[in-house]
Amino acid sequence: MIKIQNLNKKYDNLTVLKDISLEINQGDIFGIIGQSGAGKSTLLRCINGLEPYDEGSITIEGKEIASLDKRELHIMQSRMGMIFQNFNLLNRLNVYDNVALPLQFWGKKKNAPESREKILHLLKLVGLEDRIKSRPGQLSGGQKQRVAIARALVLDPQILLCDEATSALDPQITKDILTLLSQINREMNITIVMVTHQMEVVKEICTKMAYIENGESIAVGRPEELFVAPNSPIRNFVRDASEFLPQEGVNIRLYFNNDATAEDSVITRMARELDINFAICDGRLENYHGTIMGSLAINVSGENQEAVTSYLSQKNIPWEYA
Amino acid sequence: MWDIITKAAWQTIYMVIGSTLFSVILGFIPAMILTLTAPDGLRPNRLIYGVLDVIVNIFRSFPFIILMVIIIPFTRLIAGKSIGTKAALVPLTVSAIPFVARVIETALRGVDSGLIEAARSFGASDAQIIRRVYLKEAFPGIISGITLTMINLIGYSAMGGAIGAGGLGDVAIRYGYQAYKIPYLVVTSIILIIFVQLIQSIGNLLYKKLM
Ligand SMILES: Nc1ncnc2c1ncn2[C@@H]1O[C@H](COP(=O)(O)OP(=O)(O)O)[C@@H](O)[C@H]1O
Ligand SMILES: [Mg+2]
Repeated sequence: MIKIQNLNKKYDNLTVLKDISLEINQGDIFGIIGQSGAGKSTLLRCINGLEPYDEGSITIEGKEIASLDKRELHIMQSRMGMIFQNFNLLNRLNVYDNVALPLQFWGKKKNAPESREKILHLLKLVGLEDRIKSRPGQLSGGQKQRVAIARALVLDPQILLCDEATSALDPQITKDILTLLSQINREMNITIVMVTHQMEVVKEICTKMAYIENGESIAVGRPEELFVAPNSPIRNFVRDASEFLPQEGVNIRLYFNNDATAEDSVITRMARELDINFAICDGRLENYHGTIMGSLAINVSGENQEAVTSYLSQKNIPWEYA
Repeated sequence: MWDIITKAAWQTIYMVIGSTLFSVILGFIPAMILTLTAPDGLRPNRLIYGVLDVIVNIFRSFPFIILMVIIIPFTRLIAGKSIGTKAALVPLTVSAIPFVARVIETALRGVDSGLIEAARSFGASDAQIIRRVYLKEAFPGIISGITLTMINLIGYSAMGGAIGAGGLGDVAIRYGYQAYKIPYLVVTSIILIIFVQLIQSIGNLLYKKLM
């Protein structure tokens, strides 16, 4: 649906996007993750045509964004809703009028029966049907983002672009918003692109992700593959500062998925079959929209290192030195 | 005394309201151009912004009394004569235009750039953004800018006596100061203070209502 090929962008001498290639398919919830300043927002703004790019191509359903004239670009933009970290609602308009605004841009009367029906339907979807007359100033952050979501959906877009949509919200509110976004993805069949620096967001709802570092796309794949995998290119980003492993011996991290009990038996079998001792230093389980992924760090003495690693490789268990 | 003061009060009101009206209409255009061509505007243009910016600054730095004299030929061209209350509208308006341009520009550029970006992301045209975002969100700020302009114009209109425009300031100078009639001085001053207070209060009230 969205195809990005060898995209390059500079601001004066600063290269912000370097040779980025991505493909986002219909129905994806695609996460674009990276540190602040990595170029995520710029990439999203290029997709929406808010920002031109220097080289490469972005096509949406086969149409090259850079080749559209003004009118065609506006039409393309109307098919992509967008939400922002700071909500970007008009303070002087009430909830209803904020949601109505994009319709008015497109020449529709805000109180026409079909506008009214659509706006009320969307406000109900986001759970704000009783706050229609409120001003944004009277709403909480989570409620403001719900208004922004309703506004982003009012032109019946096929794609929803989210720039740090939950970064200004509490963890619980973030969860609620993410739940709403997945519901929108599922029920309205809207493709979602989520730009964020929050790992939790990607883990929670993204079906695919790209990790961007200094304007380069370092890794693309399914979150569970990239987060819970040996020698992942995004290790540096996800490394847990609270991880304390012994200084002596060799630390080995093994990865497993779905069936935690299988891992259990591997560990005990390995201990039995190799007849060695090792310490279990760290274990974690993570939920990737339903798929349980986990890893376990063990510490073995130097002399047993060879035996353990060859045993793991032989059993096809992903591992790495930790 | 009261006849003189009442007449002068009406002349002041005429000059202030008239020149506010014209200067707001005429100052709005450069304000809009400045906002659009500013580096963070919808159509950034360094040349246009730079030139207009300098022009506005030059006009703002002229003392009113000097400006009034310099533009006498222009006043005659527009008003048909260079003396009188009506003629005074010309220098008052000219002096207020750059001020209005600045206060409206400030109000417009105070609109959160995120709102402009959001509007653009929905495919709004520049005209739509001006109308439905810039003007909508900046309206209270524009109103307080106009309030400020009116209060400034009360001060300037007091100098209108120099070109025979009359008004309260003129009465205060001619009767109160030069002829040393203290009651004139006191009464005109009180009326001017009331005018300023009244305009400020109405302005504040409107601002609060609109926010
Ligand atoms: N309009 C701009 N002009 C110049 N530099 C910019 C502009 N917008 C962003 N940048 C720079 O581009 C880089 C990437 O910014 P951005 O895309 O906002 O990163 P992210 O969203 O990942 O935090 C940063 O170094 C930022 O300073
Ligand atoms: Mg960003």
